[in-house]
Amino acid sequence: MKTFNLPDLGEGLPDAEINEWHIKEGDIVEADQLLVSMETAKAVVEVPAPRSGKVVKFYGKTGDIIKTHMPLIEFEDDDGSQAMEAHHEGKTAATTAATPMAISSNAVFLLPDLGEGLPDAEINEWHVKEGDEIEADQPLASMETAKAVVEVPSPHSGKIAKLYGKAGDVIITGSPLVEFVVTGGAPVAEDAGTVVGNIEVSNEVLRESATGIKPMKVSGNKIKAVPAARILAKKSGIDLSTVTGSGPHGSISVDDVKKHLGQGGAAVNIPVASPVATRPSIPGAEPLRGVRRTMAIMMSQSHREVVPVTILDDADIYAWPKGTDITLRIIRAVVFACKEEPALNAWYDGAANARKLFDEVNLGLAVDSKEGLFVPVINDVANLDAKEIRATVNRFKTQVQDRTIPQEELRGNTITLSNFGVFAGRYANPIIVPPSVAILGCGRLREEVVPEKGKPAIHRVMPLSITFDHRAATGGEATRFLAAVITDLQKEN
Amino acid sequence: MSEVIKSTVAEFNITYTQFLDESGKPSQDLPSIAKDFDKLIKLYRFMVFLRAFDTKAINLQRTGKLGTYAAILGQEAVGTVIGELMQKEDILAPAYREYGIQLQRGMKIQDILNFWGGDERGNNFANPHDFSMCVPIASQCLHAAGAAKAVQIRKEKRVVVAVCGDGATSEGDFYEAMNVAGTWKLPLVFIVCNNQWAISVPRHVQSAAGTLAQKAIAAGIPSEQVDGNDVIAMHEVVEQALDRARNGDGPYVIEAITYRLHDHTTADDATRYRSQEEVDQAWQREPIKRIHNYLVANNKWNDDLETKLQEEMKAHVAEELEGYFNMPKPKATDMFEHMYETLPDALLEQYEIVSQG
Amino acid sequence: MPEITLVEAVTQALAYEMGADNNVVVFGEDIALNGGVFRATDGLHAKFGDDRVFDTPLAENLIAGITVGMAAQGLKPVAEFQFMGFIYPGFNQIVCHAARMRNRTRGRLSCPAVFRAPYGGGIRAPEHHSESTEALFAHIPGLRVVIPSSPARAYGLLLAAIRDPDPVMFLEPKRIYRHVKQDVPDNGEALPLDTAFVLREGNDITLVTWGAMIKETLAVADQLTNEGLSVEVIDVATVKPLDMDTILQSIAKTGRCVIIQEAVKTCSVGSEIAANIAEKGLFDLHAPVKRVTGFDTTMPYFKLEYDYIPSEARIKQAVMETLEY
Repeated sequence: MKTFNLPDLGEGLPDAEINEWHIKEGDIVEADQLLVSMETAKAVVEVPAPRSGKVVKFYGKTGDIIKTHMPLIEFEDDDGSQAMEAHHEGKTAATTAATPMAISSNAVFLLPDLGEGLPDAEINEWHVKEGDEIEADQPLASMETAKAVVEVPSPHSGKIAKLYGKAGDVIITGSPLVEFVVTGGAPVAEDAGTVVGNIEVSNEVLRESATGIKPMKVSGNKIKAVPAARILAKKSGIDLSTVTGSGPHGSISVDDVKKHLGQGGAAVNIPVASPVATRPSIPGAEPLRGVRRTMAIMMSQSHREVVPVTILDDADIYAWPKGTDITLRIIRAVVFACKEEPALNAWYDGAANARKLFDEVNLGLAVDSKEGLFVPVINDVANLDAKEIRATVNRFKTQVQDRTIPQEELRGNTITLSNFGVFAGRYANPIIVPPSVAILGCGRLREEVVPEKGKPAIHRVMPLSITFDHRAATGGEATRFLAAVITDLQKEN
Repeated sequence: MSEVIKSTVAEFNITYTQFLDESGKPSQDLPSIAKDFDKLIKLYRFMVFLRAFDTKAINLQRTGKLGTYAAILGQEAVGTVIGELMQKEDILAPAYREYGIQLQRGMKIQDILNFWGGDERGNNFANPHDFSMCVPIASQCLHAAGAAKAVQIRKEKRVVVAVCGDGATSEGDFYEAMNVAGTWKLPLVFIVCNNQWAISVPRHVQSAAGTLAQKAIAAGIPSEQVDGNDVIAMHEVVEQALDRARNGDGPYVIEAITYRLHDHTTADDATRYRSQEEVDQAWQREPIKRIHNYLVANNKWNDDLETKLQEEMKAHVAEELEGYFNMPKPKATDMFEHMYETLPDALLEQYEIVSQG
Repeated sequence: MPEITLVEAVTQALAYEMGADNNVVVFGEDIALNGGVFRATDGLHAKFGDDRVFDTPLAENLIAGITVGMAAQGLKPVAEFQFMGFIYPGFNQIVCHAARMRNRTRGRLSCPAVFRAPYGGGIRAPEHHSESTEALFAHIPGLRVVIPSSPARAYGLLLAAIRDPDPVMFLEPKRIYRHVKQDVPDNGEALPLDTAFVLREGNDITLVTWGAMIKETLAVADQLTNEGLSVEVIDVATVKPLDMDTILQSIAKTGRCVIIQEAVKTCSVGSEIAANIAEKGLFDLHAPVKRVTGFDTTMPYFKLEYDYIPSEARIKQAVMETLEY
């Protein structure tokens, strides 16, 4: 026990600066003799000798900063048996504080020269991942240099904040390889920022919006409404922001809500999944996960709630020029039909028997993937041009396949399109997912013998299947809608 | 060994002011207010009104028409004078026995009775900034300090008056408020209405301090004692303290010596802890008779006027009772209406339970 | 872009609102020249002067009491209690006056005040500096109790708290004061109070937490996500009044819930959430609600504080038990 480590001179101080040595190397000192004055973030503190003996080495000169629990001086090892309280304490702190105090320097570990003058190395495989708590010397990665595959160990213990690169990437020698979460190591001589204890400091940057993914509920406090009105609105599924208040300062009264209801104020309810059995009754059955599970829940909900009617017809697309973008034409037809007959571009709340018609068309596109069914939404599709729509459709396809589609693009569809015919199938009964009330399915294009001016002719036709929720729309509205779709599809351009 | 020399680093003295003795005779040369008979008659009339109201309120409680009520019998002069001297824009932070001030600052008899009659609407009286009655003892002193700080920050010429009892001077809030008022030099006047009893605990058990006024010395603010049953002395001392504070010269503490002639509240029985003899003696010092005698001695008052006044005040009180008796019970949902400016969604369900009766 | 810590976000919000509203005043112990012991008010005195930023005598009851007085007279006081462990002398003023002012005067007076206090353990502090007693205040009608868990939410929620017309306890989890940085534009945009924030969306289980426990909870959520589970994480943020709608909606989807809090278990915010789930979400549940909490012990001195504070391991075990139930 010959090294005296700098003790914590305050409460949770990360380090101290050497102000002045009172002794010199080679001096023989008595226990409690003042060794050095050290300046902390808070005060100048005299540090006494923990024991008697000859000082053989200083670990710093005036102006140097010594980190807490790091060596300050070394005694000649004339009495190794003498326990040194300060040293012992320091060690305890360093080991117990696996959480906040352990490491202090080198937040970023730079790739060292793994051979002799090697310019770079390729990452073969990571042995750790971001967020891992690792020990000193634990292998971080195997790196392939021009000469060999080398295991790179961790320079110290700590939590990994960031890995610079993935397998196959080449890292230049001296460039960052791994970043650690800095704990307890506030930048040198900076304010500790507390009067007690030790506040963990990190430069890790949080990538998260202030509101999280979505504030599920908009605080009612922004809208002035009397409590009774708010209760009624909640029960009727009315969004109070759509109600005009007639009370003082524009506050909403019960009558205002009733009036709004009378005007066909519509309910908005985010669909709530139903419980599914925890333990499968089929031996060996795997519980569904993720998107596939969501699909199952949604479909069950639809089956329980919706009163579906499916209508089938064909559109004759003989007039289309060669190279027409089929998807874009179908989307255009849906937008056209929504304008002609708005009843199907809507949400319906069965519990409250309330519906809401939309001016804008937020079109959900059913996209199949290995994981399950996704329905990304093109918002306000009527105001996008063909190029933008095509770009969005393409992006959705890619993002669905590599599972990078953001959650917020998977909700809010006011009507849905399923182009199942890409694979096979002429007609279907597409399933509506509440709260939307209609879905249009397009089957496989085919050639059909049709009468043309009294003679048989062969035209290409597109089979259409539309399902609507008969609670929310009438048969007349649905057939008018389908007619509008066909009319638009049958145009040449 | 020689005697240790200790030098005096601080000394204090506390004065006591009285102009009219128990019988209403001058005990020293009188100030100019003593010749302003119009004002003295106005104050006298108000004190008679207060006593008529107080007597009625006790009777209402005794007949089941009011909840617990804290009487002001014998303390009328203190509130009457403070209410007279405070400006409209000043701010009052009262305890719960300050009707004499409050009735001159927008509160009505109906409000006071509503408060003691179990109805929060009593605190919604016609003064936009005065604090409402404060039951937890001395905590209003800190509200007064905060209000005075607000006045100071805005550089307004307003004074805040905190009124508390002798018992309240034992609370930390009282000391803390005086301390901060001293160090921030707040426009704040503390008036300790020392009625000698905190329920059953007499003044000398409350504190070993010779006066309560001297507690201000520790906070570095000036203070004095005054005969709180002497309208003229009260007027002199309170006026000076208010002017001082209004002119930016800082806080002041006044200990007004008076006596609680009635029980602590209508639920209390003071005969359990104090003698009839003590109360009888205190009746000799009560404030209304004193100023009455002074006015009569100066030929400004007589029996005819007195009889008329008594009738007038009883009628006045009776008239104001109508409002209280006609006050409908609050709606049950009123519990929720002012919990927050806008009731949080989380409370709607409970609101609905109540609204459905 | 400026990336700032949670405590810097507090300063940024205070500075913004003091600039926008002359009625906002900031005071407490050591907050003026010293900038607060955690530096939450750093630079405000230099910018806004003695009238707007001032030190008080050392008396927490005083701080609470003058706050009530100032707020009732039209100021918007933001009082700092140096540590939540020292707030109790002011409890009387907060409970008997701040929380009741509007109600007892039928709206004639009100108390638009913010009571700020750093709270919670994990910084190796001495006795009385580490407790989490948000439930004491969550019990009191008329108060709001708001606990931010990221720099952006500290900024947005503190602005909302100052602008709120009623008293808000704004409890700052000091363990994560400087734990991460975040880009927080100084745009004066408040976040909604009384609203929980969904930090991760998932279908398999709902983790409900607030304050500094966000750190361990998100770490566990990320581990589980890597293992193929779909975990929803909710930051309650306003623990009084509770946004149970968000929590119940989530549970209707996941059927499983673990509540994680640093505070003691009994009569806590977690108890209240669990009770609400029992009342309104029972038939959505596939497993009993679990709570991972501090223990019903006195907060230990710091040698044991990380044995007391729920660890990632304890959280993960509770999650696995709930999933496998």
